[in-house]
Amino acid sequence: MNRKESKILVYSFSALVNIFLGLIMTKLLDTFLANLHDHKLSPGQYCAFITVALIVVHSFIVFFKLSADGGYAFVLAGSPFKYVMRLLVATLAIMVWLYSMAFWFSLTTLYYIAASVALAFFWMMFDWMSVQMIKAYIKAPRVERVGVDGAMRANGVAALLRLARLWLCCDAMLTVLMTLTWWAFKKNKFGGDMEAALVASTLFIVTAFLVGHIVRVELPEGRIVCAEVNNEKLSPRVEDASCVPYP
Amino acid sequence: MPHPTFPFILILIFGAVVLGVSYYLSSKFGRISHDVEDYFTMNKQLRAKQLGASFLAADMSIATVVLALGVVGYQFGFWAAVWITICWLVGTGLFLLLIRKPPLAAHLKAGSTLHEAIGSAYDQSGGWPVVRLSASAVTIIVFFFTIGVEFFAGYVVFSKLPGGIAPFICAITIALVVVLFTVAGGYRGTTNINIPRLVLVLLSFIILGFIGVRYQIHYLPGQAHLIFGSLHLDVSWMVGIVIALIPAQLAAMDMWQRCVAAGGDFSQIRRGLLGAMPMYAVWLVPPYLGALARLLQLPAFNIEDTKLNYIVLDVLGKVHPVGVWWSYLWQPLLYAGIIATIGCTADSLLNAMTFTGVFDIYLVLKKVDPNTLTHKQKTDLLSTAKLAVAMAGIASLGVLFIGLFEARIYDLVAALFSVQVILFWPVLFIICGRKKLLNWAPKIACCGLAFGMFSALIFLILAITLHQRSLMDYAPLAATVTTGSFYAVLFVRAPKKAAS
Repeated sequence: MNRKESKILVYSFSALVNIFLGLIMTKLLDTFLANLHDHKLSPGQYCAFITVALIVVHSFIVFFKLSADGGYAFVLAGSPFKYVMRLLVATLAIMVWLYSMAFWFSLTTLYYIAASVALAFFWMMFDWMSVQMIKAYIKAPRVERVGVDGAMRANGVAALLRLARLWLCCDAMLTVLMTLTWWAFKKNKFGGDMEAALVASTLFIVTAFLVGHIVRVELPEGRIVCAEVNNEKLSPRVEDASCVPYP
Repeated sequence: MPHPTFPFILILIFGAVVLGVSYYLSSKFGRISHDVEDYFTMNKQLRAKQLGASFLAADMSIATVVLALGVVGYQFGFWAAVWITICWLVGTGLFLLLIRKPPLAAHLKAGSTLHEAIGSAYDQSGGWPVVRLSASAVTIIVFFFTIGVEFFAGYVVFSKLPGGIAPFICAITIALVVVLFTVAGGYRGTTNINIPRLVLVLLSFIILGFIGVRYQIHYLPGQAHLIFGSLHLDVSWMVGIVIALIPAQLAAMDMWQRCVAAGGDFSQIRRGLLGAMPMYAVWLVPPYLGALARLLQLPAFNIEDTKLNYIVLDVLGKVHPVGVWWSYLWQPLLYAGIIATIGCTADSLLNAMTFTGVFDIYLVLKKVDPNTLTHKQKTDLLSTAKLAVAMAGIASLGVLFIGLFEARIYDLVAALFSVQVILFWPVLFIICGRKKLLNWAPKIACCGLAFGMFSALIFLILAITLHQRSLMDYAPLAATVTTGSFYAVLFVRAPKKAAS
């Protein structure tokens, strides 16, 4: 796959994700307005609505930032096909689940929390597959790779691998905390629906903030693209990528 | 007559001010730190006054002091708490005595971590540093749960607050702000805000004590002997406390971090620690209230044995002072002090835990020598460290959830001390065996730590599952004897160093 084809692949992937995010946002607003009109929403459901809306917007921003990075295109285009397909399936699972949550937020708090646990788990699976895909890219024979300088590309990929691993840690943490929230709610340990919804929302928002922070720190604007073009523009972290073994 | 939720709103406002000011000041001081060493050790510029404040602030824990010592006062009497305080201070004295001895003094001056010092004695050079990693794992496990217990104590406090709503949200919010200002300020930021926070904490202890004394004078005149009880204490319990508390300082990474931040300057360390010691008198306020609760154990007061965690808060609820000043000033100040207390302990432990995580685990596993890092790489490592602080702090919220199901704070705190003391033996034998080659069997050193930890855990699990509280007193003893035996064998059989 050449550079142009890899760009087409990435743009198609990004377009698909963004179409889905748009659909989710429409569905979310639709459910919200319908319930608002019928005066059906409780304070806990408002919390759930705000959280799902923030998750969708945050997903859009993070995905946009990631897809604008050159390293992402390299890995997506240069990885074995089965890994790309797995990642696509994981992405679709998240999108479908988010779409369902756009409806579920207006049901009971238990539904919302249970759906949040599942979403956190899907995110974790997505990150795990991303890590696997980047590892497969590193292990793949050199002829399959797209790019210019091997060492410079290695630096960029190392930064991407580190980013995916950090995401995996965050999402594993979120999955555990959300499961505990769901368990505590089932056992009536919270003061009420509102408190449980607020706890779930707080955990989601904090993790989203952390993930956003990781992206800002680990993936400054066009860093990996710079790594391809001019070695002098490498950030200190990318220069330090020697920590990550590269064959 | 104010609305029932009005005092709660005032408490929230006071609490928000405390957390907001802590965040502002911490991030202001934290901006000075530009590399990871500065972030964790203040470029070794810690002075005696700051060191003393940091020592005192970290020990004014809501879980250990306000709630757990209250339980001690209730269950074992006021003098039991005096015994605990004496043992703690003796432990500090022992720490002061031993850190002057070689090679510990040299390690402190060089800025090594506690686990690095342990590893340098027990790990074979060029080999995999298993002892250093095991010792670091012990510290990280203990500190992680202690931070979680501290956050859980916040939940306990707010769940018993009259007119309070959403205690879990309050606890989570406090925890997240504490994590946020620890990330922003690092060791420099959090240490510099200790003195104002301590003033507030001490004020809240004084308010607590004043409430108890006032109630006793007005409603229980001439019954002081019943509150203070007899001097008779259970010997096995006293021995358990000696074993758990006296070695604890020498095994604590937060204490070591303070001394490293002081550049290993012994005069600063001594002045700081000795200067803070008289302040420990306030530790006796919660057990006094606990002892008062024992006296108040009448059907009308309905203090249940199964909810011992709440004993100080129950007394506060029963002896509820009235008046405008109480609702508008003293109560908000008391709770603001409690919120500051949570911050004081949690940020100190979070810094020490991440310091260990970054220097003793992350860099060791990456096989990177921190002394060879360039300035850029150190700056870069700083962002990793900040991320680690944030993730560790948020992950410790899991303990908060566990506390909802098994909420015996005293048990949890006892459990953590039992595990922590096992690091005392490797440190002690470093001093005793400085003329010996202790690194002849790193596997034995590693097993000593692992078996010590498991033996303590077995007793704690048995105590909780069999509902036999007395078994818990044997946990530190089991841990100490097990780890001590392994290290004694290691020490006795170690060959002497060749004279060079």
